[in-house]
Amino acid sequence: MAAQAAINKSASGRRRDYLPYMLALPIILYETIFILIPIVQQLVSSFTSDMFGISAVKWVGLANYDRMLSDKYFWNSMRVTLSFMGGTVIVAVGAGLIAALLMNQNFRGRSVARAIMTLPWAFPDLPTVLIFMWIFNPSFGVMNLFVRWILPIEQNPKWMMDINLALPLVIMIAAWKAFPFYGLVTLSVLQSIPSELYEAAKVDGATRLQSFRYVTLPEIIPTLMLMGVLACIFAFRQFALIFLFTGGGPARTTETLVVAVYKAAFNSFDFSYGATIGMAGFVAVFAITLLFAYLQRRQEAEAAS
Amino acid sequence: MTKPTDTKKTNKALNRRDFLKMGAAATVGAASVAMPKIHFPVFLRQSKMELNMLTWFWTEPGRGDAWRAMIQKFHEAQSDIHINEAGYGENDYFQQILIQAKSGRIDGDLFTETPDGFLRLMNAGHTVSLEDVVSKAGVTLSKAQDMLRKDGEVNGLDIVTVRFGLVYNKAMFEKAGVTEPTDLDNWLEIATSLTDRPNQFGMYSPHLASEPFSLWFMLQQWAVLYDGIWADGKKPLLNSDAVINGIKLYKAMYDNAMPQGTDVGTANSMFGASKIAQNMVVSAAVNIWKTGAEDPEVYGNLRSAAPFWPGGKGITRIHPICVNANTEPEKQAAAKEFLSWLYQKENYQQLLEGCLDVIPAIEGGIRPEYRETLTWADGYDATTAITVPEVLGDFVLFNDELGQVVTPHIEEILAGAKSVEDAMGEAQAEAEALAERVFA
Repeated sequence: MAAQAAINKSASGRRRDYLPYMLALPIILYETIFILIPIVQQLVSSFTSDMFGISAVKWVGLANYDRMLSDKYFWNSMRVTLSFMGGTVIVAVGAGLIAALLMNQNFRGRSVARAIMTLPWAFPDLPTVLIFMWIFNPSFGVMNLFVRWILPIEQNPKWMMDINLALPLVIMIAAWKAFPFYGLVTLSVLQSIPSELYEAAKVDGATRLQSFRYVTLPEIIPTLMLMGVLACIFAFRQFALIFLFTGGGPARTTETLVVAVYKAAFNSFDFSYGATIGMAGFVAVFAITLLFAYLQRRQEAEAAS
Repeated sequence: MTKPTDTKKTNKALNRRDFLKMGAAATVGAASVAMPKIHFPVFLRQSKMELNMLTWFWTEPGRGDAWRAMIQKFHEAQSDIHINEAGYGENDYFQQILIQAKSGRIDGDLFTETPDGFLRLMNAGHTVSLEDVVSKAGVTLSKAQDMLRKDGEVNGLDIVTVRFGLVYNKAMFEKAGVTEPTDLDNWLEIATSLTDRPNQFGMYSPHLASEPFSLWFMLQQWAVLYDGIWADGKKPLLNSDAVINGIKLYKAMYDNAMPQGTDVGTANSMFGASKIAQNMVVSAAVNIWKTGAEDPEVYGNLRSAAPFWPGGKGITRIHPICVNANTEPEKQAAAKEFLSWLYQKENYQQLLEGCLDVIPAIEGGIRPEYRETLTWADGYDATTAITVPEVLGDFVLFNDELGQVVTPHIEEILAGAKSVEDAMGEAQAEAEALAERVFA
C-alpha cells in the first residue's frame, strides 16, 4: 500500500511538475512570436541594407552601426531621449507624489478630487495633443494671454516652434498625462502606512515635516524608486505624444530614439538603419529593465531580512 | 454505475455509416478551403468579382463623392465586377501601403499612389503593365505620363494631376483695395497689408514641425518661384540662389502674414471662413472650399493668381492608379476592365468634373463647357508645368529623405536660430552625404 501510494504520489507529482510549464506556455508562445522573433529579425535587419524599391536586400555587416555611431543626429536623439526621460520622471513622479500627499489628507470632496486627478491619465493621446496645441498656439493660444500678463513681451512666444521651449513643453504634457498613475500608486502606499507610526512620531514631538521625513519617506522610497524606473521605461517608449505634438522638431530638438527609428524606417524607407537605431534603443531599455530587476530583487531581499 | 456507460460510448467502434458521414464532412471541409484558390473565369462564377480599390480619395471632400458616383455608374453598366472602397487617409496612406508592400503584398487589387511613392512600388515589382488598358480605351496619354513607364510600358494611369499655384479670395482683395501681385516683392507687401493679427491673415503655407510632409511638399514650390530647382541629377542645390531666395521669401511671409503655429486643416477652415486671404495650394485642394467652407461665398470668390514670378512655373504632380501585380490574374483582368471603362473619354471627363480637376491626363479629357465654369482656374492654366523629376532630379526617388534633410533646417530658420544661408549650407552638406550614400 505504501509503495503504491508512493508511486501514485510520484506520478501525481510528475503531473504537477508539468502544470507550471503548461500555464506558462501561452505567454511564452506569445512572447516568442510577437517579441522575441521580431527582435531577432530586427537584429538581422540591422546587418543588411534594405532600401525599399531602390535595391535588393544585401548583407552589409556592421556598416549600419558604423554609420549610426558617426551620425550626429543619432547622438542628438540619444541626448534628447535622456533629457526627455529625466525630465518626465522628475516632473511626473514628483507631481504624482505631491498629488498623493494632498489626496491623502482628509478634506471635503476628496473622492471627487481623486476622480478628477485621474482624468489626464484617462485621456487618449490624440485629444490631449490637440488640446495642448490649441493652448500653446502662437497665434490664438490662451497661454499667450497669461504670458503677456506676466512678462513685458510684444510678440507671442512661438511655443512648440521654439527650439528652446519645445522639449520642456513635451515633457510637461507627458508628465501631465502620466502623473495620475504615479499619484495613485503612491497614494495606495501612503494609505498602507500604519497610523500608529504617525501617532508615535507625534508623541515624540515630531513636526509635520519631520513626520514626512522620518515616517512617510522611508515607507514610500522603495515604491518611488521602482516607479522611477518604470517611468524611465515609459518615457523611453513614448512616441505618440511627441510625434503628434512636434513630429520630433523643431530642428530635431524633440526627436527621441523611437521617433528617429520611425523616421528612418517609415519616412526614409531605410528599414535597416531604422532597425539599427532600434537595436540601440533596445540595448538602452534592456539596461533600464536590468536595473529595474536589480532594484526589485534588492527590495525583496530587504523585505525578507 | 455511470462510468461503464460513458466508456462504452467513447470506445464505440466506427460503423460504415459514420465513416461515410465523416468522409463526406472532411471532403466538404477540404473543398470549402480549397475553392477560393481555384480561379474560375468570370463567366463561370456564380457571384461577382470583388475588387478592393485602395486610395485616400474616399476621405477627400468632393473627390470621394465623385469617385463613388463613378463606381456606381460602373456597377450599373455591368454585373460581373464589384469595386469596394478600401484605404486610409492621405496622411497615413503611403506608410500603410509601404508596410503592406514590405510584408509581401499590397492588400488591394487597385491602388493609387503619389508620383514618388509609385516609382518605389514600380521598382519593387508591385505594378503591372497597363498598355492593354490604354489600347482598349483608345486614348492618347499625355507626355507627362512617361515617368510612369517601366521598360517602355506604362505601369500606372494618371488619375489626378495637380499643379501648384496661388489661390486668393477676390472679395478680401477688393475689400482691402489690392489687386493680384505684380512681382514677388509686391506679393509680400500685399500679404502683409492683408494681415490684421489675430483676426485676419494675408497668407498661409504649411510650416509646422509636426506636419513635415506638408511643409516639404509646399516648400518645393517656393524655390520654383525663383525659377529654381532643388537638385540637378544627383547634385543637390539646397544652397543655390533660387532656393535661398525662395526660403527667405517664405520666412518673410511667415513672419509678416501667416497664422503661425496653425496646422493645414485649421488653415483650410480659416481660408474657408475668409480669415486667410491667400493660400499656396495644389489645384485639387479647391474642392475643399466648394462643399465645406464656413463662408458659402468663398468658392465663388476664389481666383488663382496669374504667374507673377520669374519663369511662371508650377510643380505638376501626377497621381497614378495601378493594378496590383500580386493579386490573382482574374482580379488583374477585372481591374483592367474597370480601368478601360474609366479611361473612356466620356467617363474620364465625368470623373474629372466631379473631382473639380483642371488638368486632364488624356487628350480631350476636359470639356470646354466645364472649363469655362471654373473661374478660379485661370492662374493654374497660365502656369507652366514643371514635373517632380525636373524639380528634384534623381532625388525624386528619395523625395522624403531629402525632405527630412531640409525640414529641420527650415525649422531652425523659422525659429530664428540660424540665417537662411547658414542653415541651407548645412542642409547642402547633409544632402551631399545623402547623395553619396543612396547613389553609391
